[in-house]
Amino acid sequence: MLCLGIESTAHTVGVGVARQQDKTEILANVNSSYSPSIGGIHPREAAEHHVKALPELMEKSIEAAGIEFEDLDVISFAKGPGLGPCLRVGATAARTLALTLKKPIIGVNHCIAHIEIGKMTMGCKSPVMLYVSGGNTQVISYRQKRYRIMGETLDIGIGNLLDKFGRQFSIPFPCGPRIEELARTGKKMLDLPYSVKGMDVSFSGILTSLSTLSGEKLEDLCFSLQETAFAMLVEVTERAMAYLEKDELLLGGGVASNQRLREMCSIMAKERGAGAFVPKGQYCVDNGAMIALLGLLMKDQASSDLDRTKVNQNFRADEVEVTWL
Amino acid sequence: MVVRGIIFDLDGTLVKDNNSLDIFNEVLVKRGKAPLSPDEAEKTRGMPIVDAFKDLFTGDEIKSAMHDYIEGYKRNELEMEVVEGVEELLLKLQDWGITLGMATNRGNFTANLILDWVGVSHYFKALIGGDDVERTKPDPEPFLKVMELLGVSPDKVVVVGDTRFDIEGGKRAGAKTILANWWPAPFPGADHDYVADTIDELERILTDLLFPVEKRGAEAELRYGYFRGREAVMKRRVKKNYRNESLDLSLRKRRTRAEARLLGEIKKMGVPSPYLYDVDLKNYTIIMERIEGRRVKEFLSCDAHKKENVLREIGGLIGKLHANHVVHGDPTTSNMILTEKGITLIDLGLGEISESIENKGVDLHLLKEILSTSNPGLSFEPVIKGYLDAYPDGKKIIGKIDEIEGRGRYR
Repeated sequence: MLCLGIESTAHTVGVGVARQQDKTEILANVNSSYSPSIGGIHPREAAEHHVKALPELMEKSIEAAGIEFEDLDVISFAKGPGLGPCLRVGATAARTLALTLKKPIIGVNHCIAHIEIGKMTMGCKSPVMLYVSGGNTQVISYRQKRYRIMGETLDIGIGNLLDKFGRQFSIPFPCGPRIEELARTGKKMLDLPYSVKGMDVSFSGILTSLSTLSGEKLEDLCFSLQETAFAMLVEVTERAMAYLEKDELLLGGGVASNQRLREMCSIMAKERGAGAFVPKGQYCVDNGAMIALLGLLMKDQASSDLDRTKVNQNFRADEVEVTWL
Repeated sequence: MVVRGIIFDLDGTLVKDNNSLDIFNEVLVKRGKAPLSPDEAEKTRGMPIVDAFKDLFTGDEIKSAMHDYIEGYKRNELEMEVVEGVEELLLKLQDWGITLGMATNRGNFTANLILDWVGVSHYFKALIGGDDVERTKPDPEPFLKVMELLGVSPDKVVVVGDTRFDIEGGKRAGAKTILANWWPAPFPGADHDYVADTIDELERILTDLLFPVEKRGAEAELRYGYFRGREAVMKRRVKKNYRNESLDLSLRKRRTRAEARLLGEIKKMGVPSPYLYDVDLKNYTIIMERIEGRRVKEFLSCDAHKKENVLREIGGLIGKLHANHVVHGDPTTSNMILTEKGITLIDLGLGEISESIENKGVDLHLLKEILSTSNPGLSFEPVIKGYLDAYPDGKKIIGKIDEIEGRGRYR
């Protein structure tokens, strides 16, 4: 059984191929990212980038997997959540491919794909996932047939916070890596709003506070921003782990590449006697492989009914009934 | 091991007196002997004075030297140095219902005099001095005698002392031992169970022994013990090594303070909550009433019937809080305990006093989120009913929930 998956929820477009025989494996994972010359992601420009990149990415993925298009059994794509124009590019490509090859198609949830690729590549069983990317900040875990959102941001995502802060200080997009680098030499801990409500967090206060501080070094701003925002994330993750009595922590999403966040997660898990799992970089960021993998897991629900392939910008992980666990 | 009694040594452990060497030397000089230098005196540390005299005198001279020594004590103003923090510690131990005794190689009379002088004698239920026993420390006899007077068996006793005599004697009596290691020259060769370099450390060790950790939550350890004879929970917010140290300290302090304050506030409103017994900001610790019951979390996951009443009651309690402008901050079902008398709210560390519709809305949103994620299909209606019954003005808060839910979503 072979599945080709297309990811295009935000600034990255990716194509992956996954195979299920005795075991499940990833055969190909290729991608291309749109980076704006100035400012943040413009959804339409990103979508245009994806349109241009997709045909070649599909060819490349088939080649990397060492198969032919005709060998594919099912086509999957990320149905949401994400930016409308970007999502539609991936969906259209997937429909075209499915129709051409006369194969069933399935739209999958992007957040669940992050969890499943993490579980598969890291070998954890029933984790609490801290999913941190540009637009998403959620603490997700499986409970009674669904992936439940135990906690999330009440305003902006963590990646969004980093990007918005970066833009104010002319740090090029994506700002996370540069902020991380600057934070390494920051020492002074500035007092920023720490807003944790149960298992939810709120970041907009930090952003406002940072833009009103004057005379502080950029390194110290970056340092304090990371220390405060990440501590909030780790705290709510720990609260969810305690509540659910789970002992595996899985990190996912683009911000999971941050070394300081990884370190904080590992320390927290260790002190709880839990395990911390951080997938390899290519599986942390948005990628086609995870969409292909989830396509395989959900292959029974794939069909040729195109009415079921509408994108859903606000697609929540808990809307999907989990039939494969 | 559940510790019920603690036996302290006196000199060097709880107090250090600065002029007993002077009094001792007075006795020597009067009998034509050279006074001891502080270094020589160090060798007699922990030894009964009478034994020290035995090395210098014979026969009746020993007796008369002892007599002069005690007279010297009666005559002289005592110069005492109490170890800082001792009194607070003794008070705490008393509050926790631990019986305290003292075993010293010093004579009963001077030991009592010193305890009175520093004002802590009332904490000790029993005192055995060097002249009360056949064999002094390191023999177990003084410790066994104190245990007998306290009515506590050796397996429930901890001995705290600064010398090998205390450690060896305590151990031979069958007790656990803690070396009080706060003088510059530690006494060598002791085979102790624990060592405390400061009074704070001694307190931590004793806390672990007296209040064993029962549960570890996300941010605090819960320990069960007693406070002034009542069953109590000690909640201690522990250091989180993942976060910046100054942030960690300020969060723990702020939340301990908020929780202590709110426990008192909501009690006044008639919202069932544990009685606050004690707050120790230095250790980020609250001691409160122990509530017996099941967490609502467990109740909802199994008892299908009666669910609606419980949900309504939850709504009523949160409504009562909000009507009085208190926001719980973490209204999960693991922070509600179902007792015979109804639901008791706990864990208000994230709470605050707030009139803001936004904050109350988020509070309700959190409750709704946790109920729907942990009990799929459960209706939120009874919660709203109970909420509005207790807080008729709460309609505008209910309206806020949908708005808040929409915000975090991908846009």
